[in-house]
Amino acid sequence: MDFLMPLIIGLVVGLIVLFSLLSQLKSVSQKHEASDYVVQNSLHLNVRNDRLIDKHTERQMVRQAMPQGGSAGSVPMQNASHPQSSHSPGMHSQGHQQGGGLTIVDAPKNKH
Amino acid sequence: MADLIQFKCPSCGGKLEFDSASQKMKCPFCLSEYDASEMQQEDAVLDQKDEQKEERYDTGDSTWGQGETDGLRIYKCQSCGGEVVGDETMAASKCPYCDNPVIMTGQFSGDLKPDLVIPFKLDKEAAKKSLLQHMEGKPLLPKIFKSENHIDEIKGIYVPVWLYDAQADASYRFQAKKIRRWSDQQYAYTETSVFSVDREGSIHFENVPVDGSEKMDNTLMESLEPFNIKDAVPFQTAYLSGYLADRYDVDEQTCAARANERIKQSTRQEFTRTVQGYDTVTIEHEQIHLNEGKARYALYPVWLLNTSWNGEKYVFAMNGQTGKFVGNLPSDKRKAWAIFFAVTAAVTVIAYFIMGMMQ
Ligand SMILES: [Zn+2]
Ligand SMILES: [Zn+2]
Repeated sequence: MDFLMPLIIGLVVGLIVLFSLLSQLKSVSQKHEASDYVVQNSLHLNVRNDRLIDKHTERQMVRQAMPQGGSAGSVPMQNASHPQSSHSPGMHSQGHQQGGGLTIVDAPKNKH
Repeated sequence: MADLIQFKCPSCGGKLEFDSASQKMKCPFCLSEYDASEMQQEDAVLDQKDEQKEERYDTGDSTWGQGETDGLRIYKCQSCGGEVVGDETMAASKCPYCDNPVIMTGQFSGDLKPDLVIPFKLDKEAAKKSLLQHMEGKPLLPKIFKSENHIDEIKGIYVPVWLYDAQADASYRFQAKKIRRWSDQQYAYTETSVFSVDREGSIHFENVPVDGSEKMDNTLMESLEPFNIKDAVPFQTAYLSGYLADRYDVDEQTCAARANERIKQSTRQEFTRTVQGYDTVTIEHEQIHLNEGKARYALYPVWLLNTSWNGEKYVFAMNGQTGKFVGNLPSDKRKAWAIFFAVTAAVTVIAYFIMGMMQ
């Protein structure tokens, strides 16, 4: 079994504990904001406008067989104005994607 | 020689001091107490001197004459006749010979007269107690620090601060994203909706304080915030009796930059907070215009504790109104490494077994 992952977890927790204990010793620091001095309910907005300017969907093939890693096939579906699509491999709960070489037929945008 | 005020006890002639516990003027000899408001007539001289601007800070060197040598000012104690020597900013102190409180009226006359003062609420004993509490419950503080660190000096000092009001008119354009994820048998989908979000409006700030004393460390002063302005009273020299005080030596214009920086940062935060329901929000465009009012000049109460340990100096400070206590402490390096390794090792082993079981 891999020992690296537990060690990384251990180091991270060790550092968090170390820094939180060290931060107890430091109480002098600059104030960067003035939030204590905002007059209550003094924030007034005369413009409040939220416009949808782009919506795009991308999809990644979900694994069917055994994992054995490999780069994920992430293909943006049709994109209106934003050609870049954010890749976030491995974030999905269904786990690993199958290795490359996938071609995915584009679906029309704004579906789902 | 410059003028001093001393507050005489009407009963016994002793010198009255401002007592933080009773919020009254108290005679340490016969224990009589008087309202500070009864001492107002003493301050009449501050306004009379309005014409004699030569004593103002910004005209400086000219007419101080005999009283001034090398940035020092010499006063004569009315009780014992001893010489009280102060620097250019010293505004209240005690006579080194008879220990009676003295107040330098010249430091408060005319334009130098503060608008407000927050009187001390907490005494020296509270400051000492807080220092002990400050060292409590901190595993990385060297054990011997607590026993060996000794207090060289404790002083209650009224620190000059500038208070700024401002209305910030701001306009923002944000880019905000909503991200939705789902999946079916074959695919995992990520849908990103991008929004352009505009906000325009205004927000008010009141009494943003900036340390107006060169001597006092700005960062230390900011660490003691917030002070509660609701307890501030119109300035009267009586409140200074028995304490130290300095007059400002960094002017209103110079200090304004610091206040504005903080006001802008808070404006940014408050406007960003109105952009809700998104997963990410980034500022694309920002414009802030500050309409500043006139700054007020105030004195804030601070207990300063100078201590030393191992040949090094450690400064602590307590908010004389709220009791907030600050001051950086040294760390035990060896203990820090020991804790780090122990925690890392323990967590690694536990993680190893848990992950082993899950496989
Ligand atoms: Zn008396
Ligand atoms: Zn004296």
